[in-house]
Amino acid sequence: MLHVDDVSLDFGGIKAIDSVSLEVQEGRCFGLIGPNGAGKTAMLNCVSGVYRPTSGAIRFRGESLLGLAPDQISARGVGRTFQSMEQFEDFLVLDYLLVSRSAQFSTSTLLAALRWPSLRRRERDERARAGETLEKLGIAQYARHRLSEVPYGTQKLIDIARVLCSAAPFVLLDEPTSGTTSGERPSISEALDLLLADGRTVVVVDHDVDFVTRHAERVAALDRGVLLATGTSREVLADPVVRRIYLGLVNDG
Amino acid sequence: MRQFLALASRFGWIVVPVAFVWVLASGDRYWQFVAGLVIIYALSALGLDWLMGRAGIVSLGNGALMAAGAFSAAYLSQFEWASFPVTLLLVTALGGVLGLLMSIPAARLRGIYFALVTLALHFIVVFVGHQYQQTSTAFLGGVPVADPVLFGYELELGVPWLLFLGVLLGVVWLLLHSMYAAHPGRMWLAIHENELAARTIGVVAPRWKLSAFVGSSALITLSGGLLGFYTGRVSADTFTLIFAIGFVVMVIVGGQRSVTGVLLGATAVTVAPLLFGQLTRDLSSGQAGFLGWLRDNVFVLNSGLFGVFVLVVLLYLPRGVVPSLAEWVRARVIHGAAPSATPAPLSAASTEAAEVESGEPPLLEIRDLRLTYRNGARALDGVDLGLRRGELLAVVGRNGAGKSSLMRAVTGFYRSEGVTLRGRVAVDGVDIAGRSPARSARLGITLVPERDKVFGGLTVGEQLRNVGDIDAAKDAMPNEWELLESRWNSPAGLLSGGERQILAMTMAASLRPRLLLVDEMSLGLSPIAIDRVTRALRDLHERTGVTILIVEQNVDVARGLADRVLLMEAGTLRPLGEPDGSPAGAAAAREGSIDASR
Amino acid sequence: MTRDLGTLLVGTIVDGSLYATIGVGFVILFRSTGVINFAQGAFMALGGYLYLAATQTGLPWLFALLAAVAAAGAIGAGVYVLFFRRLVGAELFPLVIATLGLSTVLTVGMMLIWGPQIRTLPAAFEMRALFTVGGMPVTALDVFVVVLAVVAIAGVAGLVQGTRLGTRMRAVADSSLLSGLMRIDVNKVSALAWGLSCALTAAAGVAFALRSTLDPITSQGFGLVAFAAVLIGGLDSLRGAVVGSLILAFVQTSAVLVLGGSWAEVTAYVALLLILFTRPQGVFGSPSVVRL
Repeated sequence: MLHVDDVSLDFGGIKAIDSVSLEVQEGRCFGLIGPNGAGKTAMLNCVSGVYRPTSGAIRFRGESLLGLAPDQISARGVGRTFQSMEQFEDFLVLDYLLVSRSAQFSTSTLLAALRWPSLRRRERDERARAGETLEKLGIAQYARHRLSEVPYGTQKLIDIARVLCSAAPFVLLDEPTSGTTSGERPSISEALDLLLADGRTVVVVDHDVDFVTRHAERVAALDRGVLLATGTSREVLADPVVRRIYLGLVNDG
Repeated sequence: MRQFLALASRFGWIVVPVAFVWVLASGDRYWQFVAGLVIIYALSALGLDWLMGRAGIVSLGNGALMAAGAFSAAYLSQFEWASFPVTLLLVTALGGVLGLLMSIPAARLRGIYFALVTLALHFIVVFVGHQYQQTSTAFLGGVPVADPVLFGYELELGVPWLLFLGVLLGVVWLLLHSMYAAHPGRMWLAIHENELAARTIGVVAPRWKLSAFVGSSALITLSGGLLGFYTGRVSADTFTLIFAIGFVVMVIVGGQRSVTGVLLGATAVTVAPLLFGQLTRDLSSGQAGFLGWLRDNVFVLNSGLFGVFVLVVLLYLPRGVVPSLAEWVRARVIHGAAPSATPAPLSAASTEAAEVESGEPPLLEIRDLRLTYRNGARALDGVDLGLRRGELLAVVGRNGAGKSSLMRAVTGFYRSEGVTLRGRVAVDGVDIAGRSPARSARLGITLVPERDKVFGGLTVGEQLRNVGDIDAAKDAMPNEWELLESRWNSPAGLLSGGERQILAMTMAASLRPRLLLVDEMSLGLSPIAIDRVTRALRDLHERTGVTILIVEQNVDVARGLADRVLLMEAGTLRPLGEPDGSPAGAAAAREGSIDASR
Repeated sequence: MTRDLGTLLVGTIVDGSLYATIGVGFVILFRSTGVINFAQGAFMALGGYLYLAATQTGLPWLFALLAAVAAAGAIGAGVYVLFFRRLVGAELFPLVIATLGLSTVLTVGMMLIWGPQIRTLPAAFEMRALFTVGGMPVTALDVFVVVLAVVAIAGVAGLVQGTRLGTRMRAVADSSLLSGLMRIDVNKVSALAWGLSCALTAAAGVAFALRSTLDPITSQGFGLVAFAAVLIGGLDSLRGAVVGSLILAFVQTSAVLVLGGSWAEVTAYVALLLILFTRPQGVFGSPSVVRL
């Protein structure tokens, strides 16, 4: 579904990503692991159009994503979550869930101002749907709260609820467990399972290797922008280079 | 009480129509005129709030747009066919077109740069207005605007005009409210919060910014046209920079993203000088002294009143008056009913591990330290730690375990970072929890941070010479001094990662710290560079005897350096065994920092 | 024709020097504290009034100038300590509005103390031409303006590049967090940047008032145009401030020659628009980096 082909990304002479190629199969979960500064999030930002790779190609369902604006990429079915939700903290939870459903709403400001009946009906239906999604994840009590008033782990859950609400068949999850407590992780795991059960293709970037390998069939390990290994999670974790550089384990044999 | 507050925050807006009806019924011509002016300004300010508060585009263009509206109203109204409603419609349409034009530079320029474009536009439009006024001597005192006739009735100043404006404001308010509460409002809020992030989750930002531009400019230009009709004459001298800024002040003082707030702001900025003037006249008729001085200078004082407003509001209520009030109410209404947000505390067993048993009091003592970030992320969850004088202690743990937060908790946070710290952090028995980084730096605590560890724009020599004591630096790093000297005149931003780390540690040593903290020393370095910085730090420790606390992801590095290694996981600490590698330690290492091997 | 060329040259250099003096002060403040100061015009007028007050006590002009500049600098540092220290970390635009608020408060203060009427400063120099450039007479005052700018800018550049204090200012501009960790007193350095910036502006204000008249409104207009010059050069570059000033002064002088005096201000803004469209970060400015 997604082909990343020999992509490099330079930041003022520093190579954030160095000739990385990846392939994500439809309907599967793909994991990306690596230490801080390995280029995981940079890779994700290349796919969603925040950065433009210095060289290489990114194709989604056979179509090149290079040069497309982030909203155009999103319109083609690439959804994503964020590492931190601080940027949207003023949103009410229910409103936030509807942000990624632009395609379902009329774009006419004027009709909205005039309270056009069909628009109001649509608004009601969408709100009900979003409420159901929150219920499914067991966080319906937060619907009228502002995001900044919600516990951190729940914010992450709400972000996943937003992509679950959206129609995106392909979803990038950026560090869904970072900053959460061990008590909050199972529910994030469940939410990820819900996404997969819904038939979405998921790329999950995280530094919790346990979490990634529990869900992802295929995993890629990055370090300082270089692809160390890809394969099934077992293969990648057995790779001696991955063990040496990422896990710092080699002396323990 | 809570119910009363909830009602107040829901129906507080009723104050506005009540005040309107009161002025309307009062029969006081002066205040009726002022009220009309307030409504016209409020329409303009609502337009600005649409752009600035909702869509996040800052603009100083209200003066320019209103001038365009007023002049075009004056120009059109001289024609026979252009009745009052037709003129207003045309003026509004013109505003929409101007908004369309303004969205072109806005696509290329962000934030403050776009605001400066609108500033430049302001001067250009006013200049054009001046030039137009010079085309006829009849225009010198202002271009006359025809008397407004609405469906055969002449709108006279006083009740008729005020009624017309009141109804108009009501309609605009309703339309805005419907928009903000539905899909467009969500899209603008998303752009306002973070445009780039919003675009990645499907907000077509250019399209929504365009509609905000067209709509808000139409509204602001309409308000300019109304001002022309209301005052009967249009002069470019009206549209000063202060006039334009006044609308930004209304929005900021009253509160962005709040229609009631903007109305309050417009009222305050317009009425306060008049009230102040009247007050001084009433108080001081014929008196000398302070009140007489006040009366003589009231005109001057009034012109500075809004400057005082702005400074006071920005200092004490940075979100504006009405949102701050609403926030206060909300905190009482919603939070009282909110489900408990605190997760259950972790097992108490994890806290007893890191004790120090020797009799000497520790240099650094941390007890039950808990740290929560502004966004609610919990980074430390009951950390206990004792650090002996002269010890070199390492904390290992994977990314996100809370290691860097532990370092920052020792140096302290700035208030603006919004971090909540609970527990004890003591250096030499003095509790320093909650102090600012600058204060703890003066106590001799020096942190080499993970990022931005050197001043990239200064040369190596400049930072070594001007930050601390260069002799101390030389004493601490004799083996690396040659390397530093060879880079003496190159900006630190051009150094390699290893060189940067060495420079950062040297600079820290030049301050002769009592306690040196090094955050992620080996992160992102090649194996050779890791060996080198490890050796440099060991040297530094042996030569100066300084107490050192490092955090590391790399267990090997930590073991090779430290007297003691602790493991941090999910915001708590426990021992990782001695560097000699007892089986228990190795097991802990595998279990803790390397979840993968399970 | 040669006379026009002479006018163009002299006008560019003299006006450019004034803009550059203000602009350098502007850039110093922006780089060290991140504040875009729209109160420059008010500080110019303040310099003029302080100079006037100093000459009225009988001080010779050079000492009056030094006293006015020092006093304006002290007031600038005081403004930081009283207000802007508490706004550290605020967003850019509210900060801009805060400086506009400061500007009106200062203006009102000056009007209350010195009255609202337009003043002229006692002439410090004879208005006789010292020499001519292509038929354009150059007065001692013109020379004074240029010398003042050169001395002030060179002094500041020397301070920032060559002294411990100046290096620390650049360190704070680089990273205020690291500066705090490295025991640099960020508040002291910021107050110094405010003082220095306002002192420079006040010096330019004295020169401006000597050349024309002294009143807050005119100064405000001139201060804003100087700001346009800074933007043309690039907000964060000292060299850019100087070059931008000369470019803008050249454009303005040409416009006045061709179109007439009333076009001076508006051409500055048209030039600003053109530059922002073609090169948003200015001629020498560094482009800002977007992160997510």
